[in-house]
Amino acid sequence: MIEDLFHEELRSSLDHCVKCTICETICPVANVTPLFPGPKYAGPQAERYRTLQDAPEEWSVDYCSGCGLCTMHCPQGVHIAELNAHARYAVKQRKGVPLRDRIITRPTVLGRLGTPVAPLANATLKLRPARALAERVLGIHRDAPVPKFAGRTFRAWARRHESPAAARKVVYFHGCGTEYYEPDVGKKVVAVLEHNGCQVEVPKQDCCGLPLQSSGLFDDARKYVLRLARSLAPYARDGTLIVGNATSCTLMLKREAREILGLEDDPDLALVSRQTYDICELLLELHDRGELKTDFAPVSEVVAYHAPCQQQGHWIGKPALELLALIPGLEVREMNARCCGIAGTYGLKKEKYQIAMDAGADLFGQVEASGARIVVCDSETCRWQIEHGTHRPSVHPIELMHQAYGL
Amino acid sequence: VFEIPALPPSAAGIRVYEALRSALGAAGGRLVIGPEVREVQREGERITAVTAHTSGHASTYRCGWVVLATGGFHSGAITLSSDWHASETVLGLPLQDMPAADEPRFAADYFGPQPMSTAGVAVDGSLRAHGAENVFVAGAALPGAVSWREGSGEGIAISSGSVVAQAVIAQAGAVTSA
Repeated sequence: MIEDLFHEELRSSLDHCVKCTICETICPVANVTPLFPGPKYAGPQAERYRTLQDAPEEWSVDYCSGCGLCTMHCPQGVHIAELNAHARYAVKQRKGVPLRDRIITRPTVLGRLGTPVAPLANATLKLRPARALAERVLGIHRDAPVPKFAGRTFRAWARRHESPAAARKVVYFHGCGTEYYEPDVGKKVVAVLEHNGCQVEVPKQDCCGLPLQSSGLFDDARKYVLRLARSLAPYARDGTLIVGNATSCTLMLKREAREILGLEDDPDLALVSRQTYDICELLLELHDRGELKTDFAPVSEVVAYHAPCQQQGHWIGKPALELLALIPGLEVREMNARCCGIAGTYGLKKEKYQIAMDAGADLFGQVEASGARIVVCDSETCRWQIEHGTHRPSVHPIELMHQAYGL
Repeated sequence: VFEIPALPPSAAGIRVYEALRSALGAAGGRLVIGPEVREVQREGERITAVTAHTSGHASTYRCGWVVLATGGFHSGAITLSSDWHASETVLGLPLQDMPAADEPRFAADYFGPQPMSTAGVAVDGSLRAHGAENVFVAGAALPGAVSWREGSGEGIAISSGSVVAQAVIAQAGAVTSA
């Protein structure tokens, strides 16, 4: 069984834990609720008591939001978040997965259903009685930030769009958020890439499987991510770079699917992993080589910048900060809060909504104190949570670059 | 009132980290947490670039100086093979204060003085590594201390970090004005 073999590899890292508690200090969830005992307790410590035959019943590990900050900050290289993801999978295998978790983790299914009836779907999602019903029947919290269907897809636009021929070709992995909720962000990504001498191709693509993975639906997640890897691999094989603005989905392709779903040996995914770039990462690399256009018009604005946990998981620093610093007049205040709390679909769940809001409270307070009118953030679910928590608009860094380029 | 740099989670340590992080940001520096440095480029005794493996591809950074702060044995910075050969794992730097070949490496008394614990990366008086003229060493990778017996680990980390930073600043200043 793929889980068993792969799990042993992850487990071998737990002996490196020296109980320094840095992960406990950084964990955004353990700091606001006693329901999650913390990454060290739930991870390397509890793991010693878990056996494949007789796993203890523990729902506490389901309260881990999977943000991955523990793994990133562990000085000993323990795969804490990954161990917890496996424990969550094991609990759900035995206890069953709620219907809700099977629904909200399939953004392409929701998108296809909602897009043709967008005005009706959006109006319904705003109705309090409908949300109260959804909370009771499905367990989706009535106040949770759900996005609005755009009513038109990004691909519908991309099919009609002819990207001008250029020496450098890139493949655009737009993700489900861009496809169904924020097609305008996708158009801006394409415009900024084209402005910088890239010919943008948009191949057929589907969900990366990340929402399924973080809810412990590993088998379904594998199907999605491998299907995506198969459709992107031919481009990667030619040396073409794959670039995306959904930073958690690009991280899924780069590392999380390999590490958490045990797909290290899939050759297509390995190839796609090496060729995938976060949009800001790619643009900053162009800038480092002196190949990024800097014909920015001034933007007189004070903005706050929050780097999402999953963006941090790329292990590339915060390239958006350096890109935004190129825009004259723009004043960027870097937030140093840990997490906005949402963690994809975590904060939508009835039993976790308040935890997510409490985890994000530090960020919301910092934004308030910063005097910023707009919050810049690389991940769409984080932006929706930030708008909910701060009552300010939240944009992707590329949107400010697009504005400053005057495109 | 004074602060003792204690074991993590150390309030003093978190404050130092936050102060340094914001100073670096204000100076336009780039902080990248997470990737592993697996390859380096050399010109003679200088390290000219390091290649860091991020979550996806590898990124290469050109460098004027390198500070090696990878920790000691327990952090994987120094390894000991089954044939008793010890080595520094990132740059392959020479070690010092190793027990001689015919001397015992470890003592039977767990809490007694352990000869192997004093091993570390060989440095000169300014904490510059032997065999690499632009590499400085800080923290538990340094030789000579048995920090868990002495209670000196965090003190060595913060003071050697400061010494090394001053050394790099002095050299960078000399290069800039030259």
